Amino acid sequence: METMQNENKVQNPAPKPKNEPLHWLMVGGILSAIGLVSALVLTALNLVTDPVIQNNNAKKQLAGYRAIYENCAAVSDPVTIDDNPELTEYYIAYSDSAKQQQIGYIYNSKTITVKSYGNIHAMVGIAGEGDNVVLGKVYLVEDSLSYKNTFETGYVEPYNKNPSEETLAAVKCGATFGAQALNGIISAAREHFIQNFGDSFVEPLSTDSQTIWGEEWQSDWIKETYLSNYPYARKAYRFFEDDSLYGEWGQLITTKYSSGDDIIRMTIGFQGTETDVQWGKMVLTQTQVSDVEALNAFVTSYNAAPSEEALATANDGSLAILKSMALDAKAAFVAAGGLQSTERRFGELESDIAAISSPKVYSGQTQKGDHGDLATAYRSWSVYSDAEKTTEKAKIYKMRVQMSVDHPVSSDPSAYLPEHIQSDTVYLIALSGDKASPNVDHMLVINDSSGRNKTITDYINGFQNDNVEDGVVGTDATYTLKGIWTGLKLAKSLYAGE
Amino acid sequence: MATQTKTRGQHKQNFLNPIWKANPLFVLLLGTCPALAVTTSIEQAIGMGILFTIVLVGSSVLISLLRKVIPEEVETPAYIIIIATFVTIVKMLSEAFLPALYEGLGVFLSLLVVNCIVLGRAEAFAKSNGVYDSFLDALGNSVGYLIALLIIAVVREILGTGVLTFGAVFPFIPKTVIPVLKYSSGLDFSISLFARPAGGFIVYGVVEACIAAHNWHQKDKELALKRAAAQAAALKAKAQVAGEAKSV
Repeated sequence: METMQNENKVQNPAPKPKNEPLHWLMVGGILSAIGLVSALVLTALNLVTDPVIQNNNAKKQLAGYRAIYENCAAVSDPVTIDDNPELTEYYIAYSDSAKQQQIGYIYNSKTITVKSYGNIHAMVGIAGEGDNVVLGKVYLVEDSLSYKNTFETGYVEPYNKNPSEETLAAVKCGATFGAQALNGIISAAREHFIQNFGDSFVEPLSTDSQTIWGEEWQSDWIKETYLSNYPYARKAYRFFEDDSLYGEWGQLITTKYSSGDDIIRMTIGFQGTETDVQWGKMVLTQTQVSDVEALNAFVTSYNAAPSEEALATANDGSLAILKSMALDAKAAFVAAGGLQSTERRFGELESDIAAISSPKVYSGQTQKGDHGDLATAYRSWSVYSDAEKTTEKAKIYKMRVQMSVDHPVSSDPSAYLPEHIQSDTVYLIALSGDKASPNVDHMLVINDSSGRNKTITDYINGFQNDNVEDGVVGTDATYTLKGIWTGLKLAKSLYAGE
Repeated sequence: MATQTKTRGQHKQNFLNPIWKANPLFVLLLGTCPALAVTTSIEQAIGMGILFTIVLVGSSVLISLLRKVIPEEVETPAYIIIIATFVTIVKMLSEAFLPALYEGLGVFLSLLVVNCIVLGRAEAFAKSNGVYDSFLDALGNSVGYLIALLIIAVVREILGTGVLTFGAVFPFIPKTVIPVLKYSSGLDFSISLFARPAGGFIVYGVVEACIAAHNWHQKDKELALKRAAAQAAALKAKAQVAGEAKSV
């Protein structure tokens, strides 16, 4: 190396005989002295920098808290959350440094690994009182996702602009896995808040549905959804028409009012769309107010003919509160987009529908295919081009195909890779024309939980009447699409017999 | 006087050589790992370069000062203690006063303890040279490394993010974003690959190729000059012989 040429070599004196023990003592002493000086220097420097570093960390943490609650001035000591896959601890946030004015809770998540895309670590704001949840903003402590920008601009920013159930649910943002992970963290924080700071009231769903709908509903045909950021609305129970859990029949919305010792809990039913809300009956599940009699009398009169107009007379005392609760429930129903019924999708299958018949509900109408697939027909409707229901345009069948099979199956020895295929597809078929040889007007996917979602959706939604079953071979979703054909055959056989 | 001039020349070489001719990153291919990791922004590269300078200059000077005291049996452990002390000092100072830089450099700041340039200069130069020479050598190497980091960082930040950002790492610089390939109108010609390690390798490779091409060109030039000189000498000798023969 050329630099060596410039070296001014130190001329060592002639070696002297070494006193071995003394020599090694000196070697150890020198090394220890260097270490000691180093330790002293670092200790002295630490005395200077440590308070600055602590201050920086506190500022940084406070910046995180302020990203969630702008007026946050201090937080409580962390409270550890044990046995939670998503959360580590929570703090109570205060608007004053004396910690007198509580503004909400801040949940600190674990570092969640999102498949192979990276990690996220978030702090979530949850406020409210009792089971009245108000979703707050999210602060990302760590975001090392490879789709970081898409995730933050597509999901985190819209959520932080308007923390609500709608923005929380909008996980399909181009970085779905990251959004789902953050959704999981926020949901876990909300669940923890409700469980620990909510109340233990259990909604009597069976009684509710009997009073409101006039019949008891199978509990596994009901989905529970929390409602946040509403003054009274607490939960929405979505009642489905069958076990596919697609196609809502009605919604029950629970509401709660509490002030001091006064409590009113009311549950109300809704059907219809967000623009044409059909009011259902209401039921009082808890009343702890002075004018209970008036409340009960009002509910009885309302239930005789449920409508928004029927609420008009409720203007005094608890009745005014009940009216506000009912209107808040309606607002929650409208904000969720109304009832997501199967009938709402018919416009995507047939044009110019003027009327729809009541559904014909099938029981036990199933057909097994050759590839471990089972097709089920749930219900059918006639759709008409006139309001008098004289001209039937088509019949629409709600079908489901479930498949669970090991591939290759014995009937297909040419198949190459062993693979377990599991799929579950719910779809609609519109048939018209000749009973023996009907025309397939359109098919429409309602849900597909297979791993070949795009192929299956493209095939079903783009189905042509002249398609042949053999055409599905080599489509990357051959078995599931063969199952779709099994469902189509079942629908055709039902159509032929009707 | 002649000796003094020679010494000054040596000092100058000690400082200038590592900047270009023996650049630690581009010529000796040392310290590549942090160079690829921290060169995603110009500010970060400058920050790393400054902290690297403090560590290298400080440790080289101290090792040179103690070169007659440190027994050769414990040279390497002693050097590592000294280097680690300086690394810890810059780590503490940056964490306290430049937290954004500290976070940006991450583990690569701690890894300066085992950086081959720092340990290499201690072993190859500081332990057998005077304080002034060691200071110049360390400063030259630091400046050379800083320039190399800057070259890679400028290319990567422009291509990778489409903008030049200042004030994100150094709090005393007003925050400024200069659009180069990415504009607020939505036009974006940046290539995010260059902000990732793979992009760092590509830029490093291209710079290395440019340097290699330059070196080959220089060698060709020197060779051509040598050939021309040889030809001229031959012609001169020939003419001399012809002249002598004529005079005879």
